[in-house]
Amino acid sequence: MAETKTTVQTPEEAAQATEKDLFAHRISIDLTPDNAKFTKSSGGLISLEVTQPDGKVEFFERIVPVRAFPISSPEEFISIRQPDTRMGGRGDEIGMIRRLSDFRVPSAGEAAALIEDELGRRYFTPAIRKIHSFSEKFGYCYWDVTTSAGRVEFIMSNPASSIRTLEDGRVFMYDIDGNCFTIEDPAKLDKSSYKKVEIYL
Amino acid sequence: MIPILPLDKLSAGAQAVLTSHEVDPAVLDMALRLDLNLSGDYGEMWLIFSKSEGAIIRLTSDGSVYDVCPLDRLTEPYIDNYATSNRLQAHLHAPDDLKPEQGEMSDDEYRNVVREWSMGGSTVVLGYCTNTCKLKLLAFTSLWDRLGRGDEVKADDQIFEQFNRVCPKCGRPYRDMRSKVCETCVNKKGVMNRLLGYFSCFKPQLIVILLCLLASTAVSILTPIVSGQILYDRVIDPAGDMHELKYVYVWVGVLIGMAVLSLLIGVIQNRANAYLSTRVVRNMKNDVFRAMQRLSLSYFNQNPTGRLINRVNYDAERVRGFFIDGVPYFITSALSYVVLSVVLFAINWKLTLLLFAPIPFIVLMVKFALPKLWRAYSSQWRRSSSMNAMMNDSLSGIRVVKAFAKEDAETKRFFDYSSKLYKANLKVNEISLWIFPIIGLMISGICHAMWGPGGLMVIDGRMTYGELTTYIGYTGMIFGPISFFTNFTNQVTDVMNCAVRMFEIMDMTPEVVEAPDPVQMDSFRGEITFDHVCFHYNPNRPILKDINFTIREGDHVGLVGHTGSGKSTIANLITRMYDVVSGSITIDGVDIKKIGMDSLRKNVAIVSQEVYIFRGTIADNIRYARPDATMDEVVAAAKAANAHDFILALPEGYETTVGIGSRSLSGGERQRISIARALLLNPSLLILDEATAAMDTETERLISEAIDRVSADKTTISIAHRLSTLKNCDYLMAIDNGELSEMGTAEELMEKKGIYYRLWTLQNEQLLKVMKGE
Repeated sequence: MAETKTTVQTPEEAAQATEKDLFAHRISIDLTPDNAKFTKSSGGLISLEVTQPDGKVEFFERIVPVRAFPISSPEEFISIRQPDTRMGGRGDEIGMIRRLSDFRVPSAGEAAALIEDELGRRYFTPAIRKIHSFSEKFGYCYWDVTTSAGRVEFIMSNPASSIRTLEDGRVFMYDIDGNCFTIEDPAKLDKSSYKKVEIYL
Repeated sequence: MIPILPLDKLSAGAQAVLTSHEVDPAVLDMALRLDLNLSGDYGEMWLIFSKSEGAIIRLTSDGSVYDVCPLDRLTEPYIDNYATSNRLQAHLHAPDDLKPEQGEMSDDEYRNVVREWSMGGSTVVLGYCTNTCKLKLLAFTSLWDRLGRGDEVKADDQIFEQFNRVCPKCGRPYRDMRSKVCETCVNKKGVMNRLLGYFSCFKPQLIVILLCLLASTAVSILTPIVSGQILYDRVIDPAGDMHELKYVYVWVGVLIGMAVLSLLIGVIQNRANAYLSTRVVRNMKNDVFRAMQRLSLSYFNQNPTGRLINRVNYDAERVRGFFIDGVPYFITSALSYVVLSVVLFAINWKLTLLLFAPIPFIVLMVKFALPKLWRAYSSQWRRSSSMNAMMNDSLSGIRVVKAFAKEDAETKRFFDYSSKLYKANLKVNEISLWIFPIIGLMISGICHAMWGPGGLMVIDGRMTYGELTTYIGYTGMIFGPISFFTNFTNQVTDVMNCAVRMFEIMDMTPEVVEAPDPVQMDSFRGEITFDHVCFHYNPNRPILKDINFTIREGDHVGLVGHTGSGKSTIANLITRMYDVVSGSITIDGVDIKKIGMDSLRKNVAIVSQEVYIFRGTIADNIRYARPDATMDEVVAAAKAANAHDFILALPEGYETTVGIGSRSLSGGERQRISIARALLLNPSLLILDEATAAMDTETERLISEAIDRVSADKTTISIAHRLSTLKNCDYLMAIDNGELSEMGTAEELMEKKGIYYRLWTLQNEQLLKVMKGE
C-alpha cells in the first residue's frame, strides 16, 4: 500500500520527502557523563555509547575528539566527531563536551583520561626544554632540542614567519614539515638556550 | 631474492631483531621507520611488510616490541592525520569462527570486543609518526594497497622519486631532503658568483667604479702627506727646502685641487653606480617575477601575495644595497687598511705598534655591542611590519568597521601597535646612541692620545712635526675599516639569505610542466575524454575518484552537484591548472599533457565566478588574451557577451578606465566583460564555471542568451548550482562526492530520481514556497 502511494506523490509530498531527505543531518548534543559513555576499543581507540534525548542508544566504534580552541582553551569545547572516512569525507559531529573536567568524575570511568591522551597525540606539540644548538644557514634554521617528548632535530624555514609569540608569552613554532613545537615560558629556559633564540621571540 | 624496496633502509638493530626471530631478509618487501613510539614520544617503530609471508611485522630495534599482523585480516590502511601527527590505522577483521573469550578483560572491554566482533572487526593502530615521516607513510600505505592487489612494484617505481629528489642544477641528491638546499650549489661562492653574474654585463661601468675607488683611496691617503710632511715640514718649517711664499700658494692650491678631484671622482663613481645598480635591480626583479609567473597555481595557493611581493621588492633591494654600498666600501676599506698599515709602519713603527695595541679591544667591543643593535633593529622591523599589516587589515575592512561602529576600537588597536613600535624605535636609538659614541670616543681618544708619545718623539727629534700630523691624520682613517670588517660577515650572511630566497624561486620547477616536444594544435575539434581520472591535493581526501566520460565535439554539457563535489576541479584539470594524479584526459585523442601549453590556452577559455578586471580601459581588458585584436573584434565580442550596451552607457565608452582605484563595475558587468574576454579568444572549448552565479535572473538571462549564441559550434561545459542556468544543455552530468553519478538529458535524470532530481525538487520547492508566500 505504502509503496504504491510513493509512486504517485503530489508535488508537495515529494517536496516534503526530499526536504527530510536532504536535511537529515545529525543533531549535535551536549555530551555529559549522563548521556555519553566513553570506553577504550580493543584497538586502543575510543568508542562511544550515546543516549540521545529521545532515549535511543547509539554506538560508535571509534570517535575523534577535536578542540575548538586548541590554543587558549584546550580543555573546553571539545567536539566529538565520527571519524573521517576515506570515501565519505569529513565526519559529522556527534556532540560537544563543554568542559573536559565534567568527565573527571568516578561515574565517567576513564573517559577524561582517554580523551586527554587522544588529544595529546592529535595535537602533538612537544614543549622545548633545552636548545642544544641553533644555527641559521641560507634562510633555514637548524635546531637540536630536548623536548617533553625527547630529543629531536628539526629544520625551520624563514624563522620570522614560522615563530609565533602569543600575548601570554607562549611561543609556537613550525618546522619545515609542519610539525609544531612550543616554548611554554621562554623566560624559564636556561640562559644559553634563551640567548640562542632571543632574537626571534 | 627480491631486493627490498627503497623506502627506508633497515637499521642494523632492526635487522638483528628480525634475525633473532628467524625471519629471512629475502621475504621482505619494504620497511618503514616511524619516528614516534607507541606512547607518543620520539623514538622509533619499524613496520616491515612482507607479501610472501602475508604479514606486517612491527618491531623496535631494541626488541621490546615484536608483533606479526596477518595481512589477510588487516585491510583498509588509513592515515588519520591531524595538524602535527599521523596515525596509521587499519581495519582488523574479527576471526571467522571463534567467539571472544572474556579472559582478564573488564566487563566494559569485553562488551566492546563482542560488539566489534559482531560488527566484523575493529580499527587498530599500527603506529604513530610526526609530519616528517608523512610522505613515506603515504607511500607505504599506497604500496601496501598495490602489493596487496598483486601488483609488482620495482625499486625504480615513480613513487620513490619524491624521496630521491636531486638538485636541478647539479643533479646531485640533496643531503637533507627536507630543506632541499643543495650544499654544493648553494655554497656562498656559488651564490656569490651567480649574483656577480648580474653585474658582469656592465664591465665598463665596473671598471670605472673600480678606478674611481682606487683614485679616491689614493687621494685620501695622499692628503695627509701633502698637508703634513710637505706643507709643514718642507714649506712652513723655516728649515724646509721649499720655505718660500710661492710654495705655500702652490701646495695649498694642490690641497684644494685634491679636494676638488676627490669630489669629481665621487661624482663619477656615484653616476656609474646609479647607472649600474638601477639596471641590476631591474634585471633581478624581472627575473624573479618571470620565474613566478612560470610557476603553477598551487605555488600561489601556498604563498600569500604579500610575501611574494616582498620577495620581489625587498630581497632585490637588499642585494643591491650590499653591492652598491657594501662591496665598494669593502674594497676601499681593505685597500686603505693595507696601504695605511704599511705607511704608518714606514713613518714610525714604534708608534704604530702602540697604536695597534688597543685594536683587539675595539673589535671585541663591536662584536659585543652589534648583536644587541641587530636584535633591536629586527624587533623594530617586525613591529613596523605588523603595524603595517594591522593598518592594511583595518583599512581594507573599513566598511565592516563602520557598519559595527568600531572606529574607536580600531583606533585603540592601532595605538597599541604604534606604541609597541615606538618602544622598539626608542630601544634602537638608546642602543645606537650608546654604542656609536663610545666606539667613537675610544677611537678619537686613541688618536688624540697619539699626540703624547708622538709629541715626545718630536721633542726628542726622532720625528718631525709634519710626520706627526700626517701620522695623526692616518690614525683616524684606519679605525673606520676595522669596525666595518667586524660587521661585514653579518651583512654577507643577510644578503646571502636574500639571494638564496630569490634564486630558490628562479630554480623552482613548476608542478605542471610542458612536455619536452609538445604537440602544437591550431584548433581543437573539441572532443574531451576523461579516462579513469583521479585527483587529490591530500591523498586522504580524494577530490575526483575514477571519473570516466566522453564529451563529443560541439556538445553543450552541464555539470551539476553539491558544493565541493569536484565540479570546478574538472574545469581546472581540463585547463591544466593542475595535473591529474592518475588516469588521463585527452582532447581530440591527444593527452593534454602532450599538448603545448600555448595551444591549450589558446583553444580553451574559462570564465569563472572570480572575475579579475585589470587596471586599464575596458577595451584593454577585453583584449587581454589577444592584444592584437582589432576594434571591430572587440566590439563584436562585447556585443556577443551582451556587454556592449552598458559599456556605451559609460561616458568614455570602451575607453573607460576600470580596475582598482578607478570606476567600479557591478558584478554582472564585470562578468560580462570576462565573457567577452573569453569569446574574443574564439576558443574551440568554452568552460563556464559558475559564471552567472552572482547575477540576478535578468542579467543571467542576458548572459545565457549570449553564451547560447556563441557556443552553438563549440564544445561548452557549464558548471552551475542554479539548474535553470543549464536548461539549454544537450545533456547533464551529476558529480557526487568526486564520482560521476549520473549522466543523461534533464528528463532522463529526473526519472532516475537521483542527485539531479533532489537538487531540482529542492530548488523548485523553494520557488513554490516563495510563490505561496511562506
